[in-house]
Amino acid sequence: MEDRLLVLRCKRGSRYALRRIYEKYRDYLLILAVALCHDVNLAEDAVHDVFVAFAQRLEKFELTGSLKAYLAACVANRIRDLMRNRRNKTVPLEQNCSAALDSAEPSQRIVCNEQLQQISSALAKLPDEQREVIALRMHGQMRFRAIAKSLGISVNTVKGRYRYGIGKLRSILNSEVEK
Amino acid sequence: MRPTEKIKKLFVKSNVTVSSELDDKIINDAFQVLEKSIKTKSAEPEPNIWRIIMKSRITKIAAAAVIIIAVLIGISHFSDSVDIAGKAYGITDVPELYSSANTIHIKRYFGNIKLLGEKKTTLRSEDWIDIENGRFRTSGFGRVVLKAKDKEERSGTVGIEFIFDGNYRIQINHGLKVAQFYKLSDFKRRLSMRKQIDRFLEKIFLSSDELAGYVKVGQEQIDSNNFDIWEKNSFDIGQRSESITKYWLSPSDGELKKVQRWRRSEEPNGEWFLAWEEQIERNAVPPEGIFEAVAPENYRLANTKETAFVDKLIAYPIRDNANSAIAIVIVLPNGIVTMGWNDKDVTPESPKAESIRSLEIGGVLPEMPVEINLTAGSPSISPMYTDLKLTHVARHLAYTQKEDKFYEWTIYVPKENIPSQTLPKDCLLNIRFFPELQEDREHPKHPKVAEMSSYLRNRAITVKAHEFDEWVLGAMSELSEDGKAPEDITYEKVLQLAEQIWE
Repeated sequence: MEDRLLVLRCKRGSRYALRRIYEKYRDYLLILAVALCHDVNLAEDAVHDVFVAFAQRLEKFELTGSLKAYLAACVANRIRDLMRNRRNKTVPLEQNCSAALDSAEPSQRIVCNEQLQQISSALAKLPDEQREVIALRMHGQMRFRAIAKSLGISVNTVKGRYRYGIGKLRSILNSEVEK
Repeated sequence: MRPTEKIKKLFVKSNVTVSSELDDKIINDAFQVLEKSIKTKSAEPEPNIWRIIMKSRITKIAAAAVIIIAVLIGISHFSDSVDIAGKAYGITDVPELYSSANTIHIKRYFGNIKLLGEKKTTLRSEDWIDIENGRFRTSGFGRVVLKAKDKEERSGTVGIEFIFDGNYRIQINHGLKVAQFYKLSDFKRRLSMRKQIDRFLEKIFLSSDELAGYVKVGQEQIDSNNFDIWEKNSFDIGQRSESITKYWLSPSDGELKKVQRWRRSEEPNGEWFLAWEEQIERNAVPPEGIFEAVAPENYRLANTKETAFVDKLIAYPIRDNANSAIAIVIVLPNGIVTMGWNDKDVTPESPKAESIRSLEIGGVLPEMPVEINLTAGSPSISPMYTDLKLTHVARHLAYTQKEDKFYEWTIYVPKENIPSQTLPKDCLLNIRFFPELQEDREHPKHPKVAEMSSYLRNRAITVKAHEFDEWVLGAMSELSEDGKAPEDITYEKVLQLAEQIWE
């Protein structure tokens, strides 16, 4: 219910409520975005665009389910669009994160920890559609039905992608341990 | 380990550190489009907060239960009384009503205040608290000491004003005509707003522990509205004076029109005089620009927004040069206290830190370094607590690390469960730090033992059970390198621990 009240207050122009929503879901969405695209700059852009679009559409926005799941689906959609447009310009995450950690480069605005680098790196080796389902399910804690609805595909397709993705991820992570 | 568990674990431990630059960019861009969309907003009716609450499934069930109970009560008591006017608001409703208001506006009148270089006079001040948008503008008085070259030292009272725009707080000293900016961390911003509301209720003597003892003594009509007059007598032993606090409260909507504090000395034939009066408005629309953090013209700026001092949660030594420092004291229901603290001797690499790290929740600290007890403060405000003396049992709750500092979060449980849900804020919080193990605690020989005693209202924040995550975990997150509170810390676990001690 807290989210509903925050949304209502946002609709009435409350900057404080909008800030609360941002602060509440910022880290969650950034981790999801990094996991989905393996690129901190793209992740940053996606979360930025989602919040700005959210503020823009507030007037007509009606919260029918979970705000967290709604924002997660928005981030996933935005990542998909951005990756389509910028696929050739992607900077590998390792390069990006280590640059930020080593030199504290002032332009770097997100720094990922080791676990996020590891999971993101492993997910990057999966096809886009499997990665998306796994990230939304494992990090987003979304139900298969909700994922299917947000992606516009059937529940069985989602479950199939998830199963294949998990299988591949297992071998990727195991091979990393063996190295 | 199953692959899904391993992946889940990686996600759970995933973390990003986000610069304030990114936060500012996203928030400011979102604010801009929000403002644009509000300006062009159509005039279609909005659902109100009540409808949202009533649409929730839990509320519907609760509402159904309330209706059934109401019908049963109605049937059994119909012949005795029927309250067709609905709820009549009383003085005990004020804290809840005003804590959930959008804005609070207070006009205050002080008698006999003498400002530095001016004559004694009656002064007015005006405060605004914008709870909905997390902003405030308050004013008060401070004491300054001036020492010019070859001149005598001069001290006096000056007007001080604080304006907080949601990001920056400006502190304006009207006596010295100097202003200074502060930028608040997320946690400090919330803490600052919370303290404003608590302070407002404390100033009008209506914090949760001071609600007992009010009596409705009459009614008065102001601007065609009826107001109940509530009164409470109190006696201040320290000041040897008697006080009456009077409230004008609307029974129909809970509006508090004004508050007066009358006082007379204990001397024979001491006359009553009006010590101060406050006029209060709830949900009034603040004037344009009232929350803009700008200094008045011709005032000297000690810094700018760009060079503003960053006000974040840090541990302050409990006295000058003390090794031990307190970050925050949070009082939970049943007199349970949690405190985040550090000590110069307990660095992240020190053996003491290592032994604390190995503790589970509820573990006994290897060398108990801090003691807390609470004793009664002014009996005039909370006479029921004049005999209060609580000794607390300390247990480990969690630890965090930030910027090469090791913070221990200790939970202090009163040896006996006290009936009150909240402790009176005027009781004294007494803290003793023992950096080294002392054999005789009552007669400590170690020169480093540090003690402090302070009113709970000044030193601690009092929270309810459902606020545990926001304040206790929030404070831990603020003092944690990765911005996250340690896992598995819940109010339920704290309560279980307390119950074990009470058994």
